Amino acid sequence: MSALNDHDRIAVMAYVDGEMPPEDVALFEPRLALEPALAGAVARERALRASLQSAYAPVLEEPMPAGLLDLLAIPDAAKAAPVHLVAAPAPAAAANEALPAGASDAARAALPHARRWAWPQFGAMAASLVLGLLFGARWLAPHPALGGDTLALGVAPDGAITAQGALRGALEQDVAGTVLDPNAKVGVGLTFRDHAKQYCRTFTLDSASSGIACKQADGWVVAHLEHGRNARAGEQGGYRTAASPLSPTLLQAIDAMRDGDTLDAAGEAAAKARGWKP
Amino acid sequence: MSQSPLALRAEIAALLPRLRRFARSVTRHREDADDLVQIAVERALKHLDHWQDGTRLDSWLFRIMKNAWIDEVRARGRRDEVLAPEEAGEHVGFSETGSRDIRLSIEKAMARLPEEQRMAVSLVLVEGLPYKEASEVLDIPIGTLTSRLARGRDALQAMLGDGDLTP
Repeated sequence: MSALNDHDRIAVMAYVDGEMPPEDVALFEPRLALEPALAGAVARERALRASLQSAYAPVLEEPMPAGLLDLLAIPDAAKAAPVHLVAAPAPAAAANEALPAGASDAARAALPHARRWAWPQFGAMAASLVLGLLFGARWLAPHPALGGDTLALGVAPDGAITAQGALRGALEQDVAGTVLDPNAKVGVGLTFRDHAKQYCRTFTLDSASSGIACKQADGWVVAHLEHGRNARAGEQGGYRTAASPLSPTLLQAIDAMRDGDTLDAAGEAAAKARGWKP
Repeated sequence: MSQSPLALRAEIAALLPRLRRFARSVTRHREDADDLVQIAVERALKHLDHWQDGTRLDSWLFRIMKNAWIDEVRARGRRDEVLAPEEAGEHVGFSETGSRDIRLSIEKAMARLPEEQRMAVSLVLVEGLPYKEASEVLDIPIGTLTSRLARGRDALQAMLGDGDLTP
């Protein structure tokens, strides 16, 4: 940096911080190829930025102190959601064994490895709060202040977690063989009927988040949601669908919920034609 | 989602990890950081009606936190300076994986920065706030922010040396 004048030092900073107006960038970038001192300064600033971010990144993953969570507890939303949240930092060996749909014993055996967060343990916390903590703000309904545009999960007034946006679209539209957007991060896997004869479908939000949503009168309500590095198991074969490798805990949830077999392609198409109504 | 208190609380909850990260660099100390986040969230909840729709919630919370920290330091009467920077650096977040030496030296270097530079560096380089947002969080003009950023960066580069920055 010492070789640069003040003007260039400020320019390097603005450039690296993304604060340089486009017209200035157009003038600045060609200089990088010609002026090693300038290019070196840019490289050093980028390295500093990257180092700072990786130094502080672990703080984001640290367990949240209970006191902070209690502060944000929301009294009236406690009773509503019948959602079973599972945070699964499961050991790779256990979680990576893909399980056949019927192997609920084996799936259960894998359970102690996963930290299970049943709803009542959260006491008075709202569904959205927990979702936010587990998933970050990414998949929540975007707040205008956050400038987000991704939207997959919302929270109904009664506290139930509902599918929104891309996820709702996929649940409504995607049937076997006709996935609308193969590049979408949101994917739908198996379809089955639960004991109330409602149609339920497994979905994935990203490489680490998956769950089950069931069609109810007012939309797709999320009945099971899990998150964790190994929540999507089965990468090396065994029982899975192309779109959504299923974790042991998810398979177990399906087993507990389903009434009858999972639907085949024709069954999915027929159910879709009926608007997924029971 | 509207800005009903419930939705706002959920958004604040979603921001907690970032609030803790900023607090960690501001206070340089794990327990102090969580205390600071606690104080800031309490204040935010008390004044939810002060948050203006259409402005960034994270900036608002960072600003509350900055003010809370200034109050705290004032109340402690310079107790802050009792902590030796070397010791302070030891308390900043660790990861089990990889380049721990580099991480420590960066955090030690951050801990040695004057507070006003440390906050500017943290908001822009770690939290990724635009200059305008960061200057509003710190209640300073953009020119002041950029000069703090420049001095903070130069000091960090000098402390770390070029070699340490390539993990």
